[in-house]
Amino acid sequence: VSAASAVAAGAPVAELARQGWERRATVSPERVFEHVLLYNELGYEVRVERADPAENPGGCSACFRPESPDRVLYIRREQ
Amino acid sequence: VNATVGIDVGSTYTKAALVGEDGRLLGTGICPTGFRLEAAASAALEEARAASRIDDGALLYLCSTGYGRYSLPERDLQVTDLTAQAWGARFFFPRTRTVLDVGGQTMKAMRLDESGKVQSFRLNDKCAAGTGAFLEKTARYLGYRIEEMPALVECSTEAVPVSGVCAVFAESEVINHVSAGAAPADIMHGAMRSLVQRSVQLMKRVKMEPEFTLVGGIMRFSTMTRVMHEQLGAAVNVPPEALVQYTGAIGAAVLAGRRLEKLRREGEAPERAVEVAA
Repeated sequence: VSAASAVAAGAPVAELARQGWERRATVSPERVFEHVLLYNELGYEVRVERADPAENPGGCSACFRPESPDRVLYIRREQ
Repeated sequence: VNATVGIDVGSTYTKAALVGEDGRLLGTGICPTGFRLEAAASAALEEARAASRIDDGALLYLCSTGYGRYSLPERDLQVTDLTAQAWGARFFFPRTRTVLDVGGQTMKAMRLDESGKVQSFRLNDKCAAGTGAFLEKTARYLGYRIEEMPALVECSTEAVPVSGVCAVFAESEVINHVSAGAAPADIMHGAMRSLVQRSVQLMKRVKMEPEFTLVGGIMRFSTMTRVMHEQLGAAVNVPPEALVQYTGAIGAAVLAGRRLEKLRREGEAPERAVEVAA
């Protein structure tokens, strides 16, 4: 698993986009490893951020669990 | 007859497939994955071996796939789910260019080039939890087993709308429809249409091209593929019902065969039979 896969805290979305990161999916914590492994094997770096319900369309937080927040995966081609 | 082995260690079920050196599918086996991944793989392989009546020593090379692909120390090779599904889809339909795989926990769409290489892919987002589990949950809430879903949907006169942008909201919608007296058949039909709409959206995101091949356990229900055909407005390929959930394992077995062939050409083929400890 690439070094970029460590959970990062709250990097601004615009800054991530500027660095070439593309928001790809929101997944529950227990499935992060599986997704990171898949993207790594397909030649992508993965950046994992804690999900912020305020970023969802309409501020939806129906499935947000504060005690175990989901993760947002960003990917970019390995450089 | 010698064969290569593909084992797909999925989140819900572990599947095994044996493909002969002549390219024929010889046997399949399945076992709930549970917590002991290696034991599940061993059981699925044993079932496949019994079905194929192949001698113990005739299994030559093992390729694993699925989320537990690294959990089998006996593997010779491992490939991603996407690669295995692509090869599995092309095993049945060689002209496949877009594959949709709806599993218990994930939905994946991918576009392939003419040689079968994955060009573009997308996985479902949690916020659009469009998976087989969603349909199972809906069926259970309505008091049915998932196996009863096809007959139920066939009784539907009109699908009730289930927007299903979010699985949590979709569940609330189902509850509201039940309270309002909607027929379970119409609710189930609506839930299925909702899942299919999300599938089509995912396929659009990979810039889908025909031929379309649908795989994954949920596709064993012909009503699902019928609704898919209606929504896409195009013909869809579906592997034989009994094999639709084995495409990942079959693709892995095909890839094992290709790798073994290459190693033989290079004089580096392993000289031992495949075994998976229980």
